[in-house]
Amino acid sequence: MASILPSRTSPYETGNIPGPQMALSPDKAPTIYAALTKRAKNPLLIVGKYVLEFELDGKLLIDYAIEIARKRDMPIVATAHTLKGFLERNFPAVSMGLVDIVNRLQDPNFTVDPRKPPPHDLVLFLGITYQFASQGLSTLKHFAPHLKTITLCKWYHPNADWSFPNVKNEEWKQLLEAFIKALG
Amino acid sequence: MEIRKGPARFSLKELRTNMIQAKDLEVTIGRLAMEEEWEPQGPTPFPGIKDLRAWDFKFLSRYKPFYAPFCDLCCLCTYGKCDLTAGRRGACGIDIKTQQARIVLLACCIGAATHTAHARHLLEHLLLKYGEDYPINLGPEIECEMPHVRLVCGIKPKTLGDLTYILDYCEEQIVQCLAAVHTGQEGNYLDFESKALHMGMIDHVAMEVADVEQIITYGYPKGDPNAPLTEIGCGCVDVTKPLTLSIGHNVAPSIEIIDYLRKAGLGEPGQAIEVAGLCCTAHDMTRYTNQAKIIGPMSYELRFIRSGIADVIVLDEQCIRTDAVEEAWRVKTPVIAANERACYGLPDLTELPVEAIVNKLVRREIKGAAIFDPEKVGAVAVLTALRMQPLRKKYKAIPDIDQIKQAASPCTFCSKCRRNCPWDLPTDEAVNAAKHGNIEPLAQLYDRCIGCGRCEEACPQHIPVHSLIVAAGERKFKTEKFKVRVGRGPILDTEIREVGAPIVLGEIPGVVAYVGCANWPTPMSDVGRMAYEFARRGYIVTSTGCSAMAIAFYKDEEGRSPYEVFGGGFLRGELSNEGSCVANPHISDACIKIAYIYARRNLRGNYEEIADYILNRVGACGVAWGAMSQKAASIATGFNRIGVPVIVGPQGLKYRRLYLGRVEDEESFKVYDARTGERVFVGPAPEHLVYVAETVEECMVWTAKLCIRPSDTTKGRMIKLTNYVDLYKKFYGKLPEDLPMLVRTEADIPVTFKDEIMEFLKAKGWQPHPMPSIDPTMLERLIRVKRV
Ligand code: SF4
Ligand code: SF4
Ligand code: SF4
Repeated sequence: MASILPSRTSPYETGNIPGPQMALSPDKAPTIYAALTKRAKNPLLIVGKYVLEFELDGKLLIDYAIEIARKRDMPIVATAHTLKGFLERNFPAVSMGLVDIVNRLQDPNFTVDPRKPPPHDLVLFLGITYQFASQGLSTLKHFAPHLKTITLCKWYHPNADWSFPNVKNEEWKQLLEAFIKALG
Repeated sequence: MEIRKGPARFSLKELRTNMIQAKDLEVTIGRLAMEEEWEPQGPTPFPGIKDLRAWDFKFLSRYKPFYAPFCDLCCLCTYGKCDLTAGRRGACGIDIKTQQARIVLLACCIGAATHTAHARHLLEHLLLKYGEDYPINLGPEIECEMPHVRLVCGIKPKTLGDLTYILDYCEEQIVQCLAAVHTGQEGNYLDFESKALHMGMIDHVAMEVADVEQIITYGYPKGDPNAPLTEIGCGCVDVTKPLTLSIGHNVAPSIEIIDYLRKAGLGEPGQAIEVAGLCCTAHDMTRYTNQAKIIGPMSYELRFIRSGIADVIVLDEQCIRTDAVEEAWRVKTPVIAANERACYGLPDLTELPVEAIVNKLVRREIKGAAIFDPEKVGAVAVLTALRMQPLRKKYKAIPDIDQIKQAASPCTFCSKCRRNCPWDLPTDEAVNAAKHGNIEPLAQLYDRCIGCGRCEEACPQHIPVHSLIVAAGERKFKTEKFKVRVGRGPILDTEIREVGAPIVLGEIPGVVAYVGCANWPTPMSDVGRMAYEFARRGYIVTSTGCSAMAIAFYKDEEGRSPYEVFGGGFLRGELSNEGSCVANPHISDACIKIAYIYARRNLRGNYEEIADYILNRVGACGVAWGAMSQKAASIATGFNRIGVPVIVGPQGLKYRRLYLGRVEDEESFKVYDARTGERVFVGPAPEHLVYVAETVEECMVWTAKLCIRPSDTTKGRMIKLTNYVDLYKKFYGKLPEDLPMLVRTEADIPVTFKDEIMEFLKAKGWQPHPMPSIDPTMLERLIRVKRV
């Protein structure tokens, strides 16, 4: 049985209330996030350790990540030791620690993807340890005014600009699938 | 001879004047004394805030502060709360970046103050017991007795009394830095960082004082590589015996417990009475006698108090659960607060006779007593334990296994417990499974749970979630028992002579220090897994505090603890436990001693040069996988100032600030070759000064990488790269992308991967970058021949 969460858009970790500016989490999140991603000139997907650990109905999160990236020809930064999973799937992810990529994203002259001019204007997060991601998102919220952030995890992330709500796995899977579909 | 801080003392056998007749008169005049000329005085003895600022700014231009705000608001004054989000300024004009640096400084002030107060409290007690002339003698194999004090203060302390003036200095600096935090005081983030670094340095001085004073007076091991093994784990105590439990860091009252046992004819700990400890005070008890027992790190506090095994609890200071008295009361365990800094609202009974205090505690007239006399604490604790044990019958607050299902039955699966758990442990699923009769998911959380109790605080049904986890893991809890090496204290000069050259040349691939608290992202045995791996690879592995305990919880395939597998020296492929938190400077001291003994650099008041030396040549890296406290913040920052990088676990980003390099900014990674004055790019060596890793695998890869230094010889670089490449390939699946920067010439390439790396480098268009075995420095003044 999956858990019933008390509130969809309160910070997933009870005490993680950063301040007055917290993420939007609209009802039609998948379509809105897909539209934002399509509109972005240089979007980037950053993934963490859970892409190798979380499964939704037998499909690993890393496979969702690759599907998302392929839809928009978007680079993936594989943080922690997740590069291995991408190599096994023949996906050319860039390996970098979360703090290394977040540090560079503060710089409007930085791009992971040499084919596209800087800056990255949209950054998507998926599968990173909750508090760690939250702190990384905080850096971007405060110090990277040239970009917006979206989190695709099953937790409401107040420090993002846009976040999925707190959901159980079944709904998360639907949200991810709807997002991928809406990416075209 | 020169005048230094400290008292001038004159002794007169006999004095007769018209007014006075006195014998054995000793006069102390002011605070001035002579310091012998043991070394030329360096540029910065007893540095104040501004004296090392230029050095800080220099290396902060390479390792720029990276901020991850933990809170967007400031509530430090009545103008607030001010919203500082994304560029907004507070009423006082501060912005979010500067505010983060300010909070970092505050944390470092707290950390440094805590160790300084600890050192001061213990020193006053020891001065009364041993006198101020008690010599500082760390044995024949340690001539350089207090490297940090020599380096920072520029003096060579000789007696216990000399330490007083060092702590005066620390206290003065802490006050200065704390004052900078006031609203409308310091206003630049780099200046806040410089002060935080200053506090980190002061913290290492204070910790060195705290540890040396206890080593010399209590007869702890003086750098003994063969310090004995002792037991750790809840299963190492005989629960049928009365048991005293000490919690905290300041060992004075616990030593008095052991002394009282001996004086009262009750033998050694473990005979009539078990004497056990939690957190660092336990380390320090076992350094006094290895018959004392270590229950575990801070994460074991709640579970052990609730187990009811303790018949009396002595709280000294630091990292004590603030609800310890209430938790102890539930299981009828009386508490003694033994330190003014942690009184817990308990009545001060210091002046009452021992028997009267014991009666009040045993009759449960009070929840506990504050007793500010360590000797009296020793007597009261022992006598209370003896009398309480038959009365208490080991009351406990942990349910029996057969009560778990019933206790879990009100669970509504609301998940509030899980959402309040710092590690998002699936407590909701586990409690729900228990409700339906399956306690296995709860038992599986036993090793992951850091014992914070937040799950219980959140549960609307008041289910004791943490207690249920411990109950489900009962068998493990009651029987777990491991071997840990007793804290050895400082590193021997003789060891430094043996390893100094191979460390600087890189032939010993690095010194790795596992330090810090118990907020671990993964089972704590992972700290042992990492330590084991690096010792096996020939690194020098050191440890302190809760991390030194965690290492013991790892077992290799043959069921041995890493401490049973590896020797306890500061030598290639060995693993040492230096001791408690205040033993941390022995690790930074080892780096300083490499500069002093191997490279013959002067220490006296010569901080900048030695930090530059260590950053460029000593391949050391700290790992604080479960860092939690403000002390950990100042300890890490002190390591940074002396040139040692640190890796923290994922919660470590909540410290709000890292020091990160960006190697694509080549200019920032150039150093001078001191022989020619030429500027040379040295690559990411080391790339960062504070880094956060999300997983154990990432942490191991970065540990190997952050041990790389510009001074590595080709053989040394080859050895370091062998480890880095091997770990990278194992965990990441390919060769690291930064190899072209790290491989300077073909001779650097690890033999095992030669063909593969050559091919890789060729594809990247790699060209050898000259590495004329430079003499690397970031300090222009150390250039010997200026280029025309
Ligand atoms: S210290 Fe400054 S930012 Fe903080 S509450 Fe006061 S005015 Fe606001
Ligand atoms: S006590 Fe354990 S399970 Fe409960 S919140 Fe803390 S870490 Fe999580
Ligand atoms: S908070 Fe309490 S009721 Fe809710 S899931 Fe956790 S244990 Fe069950």
